[in-house]
Amino acid sequence: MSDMRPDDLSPRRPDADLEHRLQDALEARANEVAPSHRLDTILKEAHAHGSPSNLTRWATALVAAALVVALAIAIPQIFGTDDPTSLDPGATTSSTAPTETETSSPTEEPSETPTEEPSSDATTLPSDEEEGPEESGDLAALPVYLLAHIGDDMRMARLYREWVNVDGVFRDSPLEEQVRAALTTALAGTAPNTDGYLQTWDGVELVDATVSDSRITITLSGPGSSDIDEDEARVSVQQLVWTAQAVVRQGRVPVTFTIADGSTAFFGQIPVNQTFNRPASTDEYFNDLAPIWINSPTRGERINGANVIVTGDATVFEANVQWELINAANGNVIDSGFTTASVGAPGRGTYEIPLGNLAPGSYIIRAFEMSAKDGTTVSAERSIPFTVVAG
Amino acid sequence: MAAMSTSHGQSSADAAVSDLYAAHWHALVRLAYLLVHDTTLAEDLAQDALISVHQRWGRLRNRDAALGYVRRTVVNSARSALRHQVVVDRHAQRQTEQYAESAEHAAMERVQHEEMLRALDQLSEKQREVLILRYYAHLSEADIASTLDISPGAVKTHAHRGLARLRTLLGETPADDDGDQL
Repeated sequence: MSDMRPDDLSPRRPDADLEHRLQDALEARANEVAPSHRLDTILKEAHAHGSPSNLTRWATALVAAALVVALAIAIPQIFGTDDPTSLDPGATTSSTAPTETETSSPTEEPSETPTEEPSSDATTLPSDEEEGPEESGDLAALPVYLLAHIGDDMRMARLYREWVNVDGVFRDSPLEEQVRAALTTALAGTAPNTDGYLQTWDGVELVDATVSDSRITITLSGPGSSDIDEDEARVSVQQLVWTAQAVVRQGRVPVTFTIADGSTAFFGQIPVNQTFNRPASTDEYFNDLAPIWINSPTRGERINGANVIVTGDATVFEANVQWELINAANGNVIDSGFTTASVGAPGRGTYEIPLGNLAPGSYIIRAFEMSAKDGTTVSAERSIPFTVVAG
Repeated sequence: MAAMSTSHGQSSADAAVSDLYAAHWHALVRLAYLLVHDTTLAEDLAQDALISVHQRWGRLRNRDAALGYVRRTVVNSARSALRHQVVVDRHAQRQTEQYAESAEHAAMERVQHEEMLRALDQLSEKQREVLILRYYAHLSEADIASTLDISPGAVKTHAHRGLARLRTLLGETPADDDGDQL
């Protein structure tokens, strides 16, 4: 790019005409709009309690956070030493269901959202940075971020988090060992009892990962195939960043990479020689994370059926989350409804779905967002199977 | 611009938001419109951004920071709305119908604009955002980087690739990095 000056975007000769025409076209398009007068509305809403999409939900966020804490106490965590058999296709014995006792995500993230400057020091602890789920055995429940298409629009892939057990990696195993195990799983692009995650790192292996107070250093065997698009490549790198940081639980510890074969660009497009991090503000999380997460119950979790409340995070337009409770045995929708996240996009809010008392059996909870524009396309969704046990 | 303050705490926020509104309302709505192609939605996004900045006024360092915050919020919420990709698809359809109508010379310019804008819609999200912020909002590279929370280097890359892609989509000579066309 010899024709590009290092410090600006000034017209480059070859593009001058194109830039001119682009500018004209944008100007013409923009001038189609005659914005109506809204100052009064803006001030009025700001004075009321803020916008409905904002401040009111703020207030609910605090309540929601409190409820989530209560939930963690209210649902006794019951696990078998056996696998939950019925609902996970291809259930394997490598993973006992991690339980969901972590409550930090709902309580921390709302308080972080108002951060006005992405560059400011964010103090939020992402959801997986407090104690992870308790285990029935001593195997560590490792947070692993995995990439999947977020809805009907197959063009956008974002991250979901799974809690994964890896044989031989225990809660008291050295931190670096846990980081390596989680990264290895992330690179494999799949977790037990799951289907549909993307394997963008196909063929790439973890060579090493080291953790110091101020840095996480990851060495990969190769750069990954250049055959993926720009956004997917970016999120794939972020996948490893989020995973490593989640295991380390020290917040935004900078992550750097080395590629053992000497490659200088991930997927042939992202320079390796830079420092990576998760976004500073939850307002920016949507760049990396799937719009809808279900945090509790966790995949395959066995829970008591009394007063079941599903919780999750969402970055959705107008904060609307729809849900369906599905009988896993026959696929029938047992119940459905909608709920509101504590903040709307671009913020990442928390939501909850009170399901009431459930009879023992196998269920799937599906949370989703319909396209605001056509009402028929699912723009984002997440389904989690769980089991209600007698008790 | 009159501020309808009802309390001491809010008066400075009112004044600030009123000033922002006076100076930037049209540009913000139009920026949002270029991103989402829907007037009402664009106004809603700009409105929410201003309400939001009002709420955070005490925590923003200064008015420049406030404008940056508002822009960032508009772009982010527009991006979220655009996850519903049909907005773009429908828009493209509508435009196709429109410009099929006239071959008048006066319409030619419009046709060219539409071609350009449809090509723009086919770029990646970031490329499109960078080009709109650059060529409509006329932001500096540093401001674009801050608005999109990406590095200045990434701004350059997106701009460069975006323009190259535009040229390809428009059926013009593919941009050579050191090309000497024109």
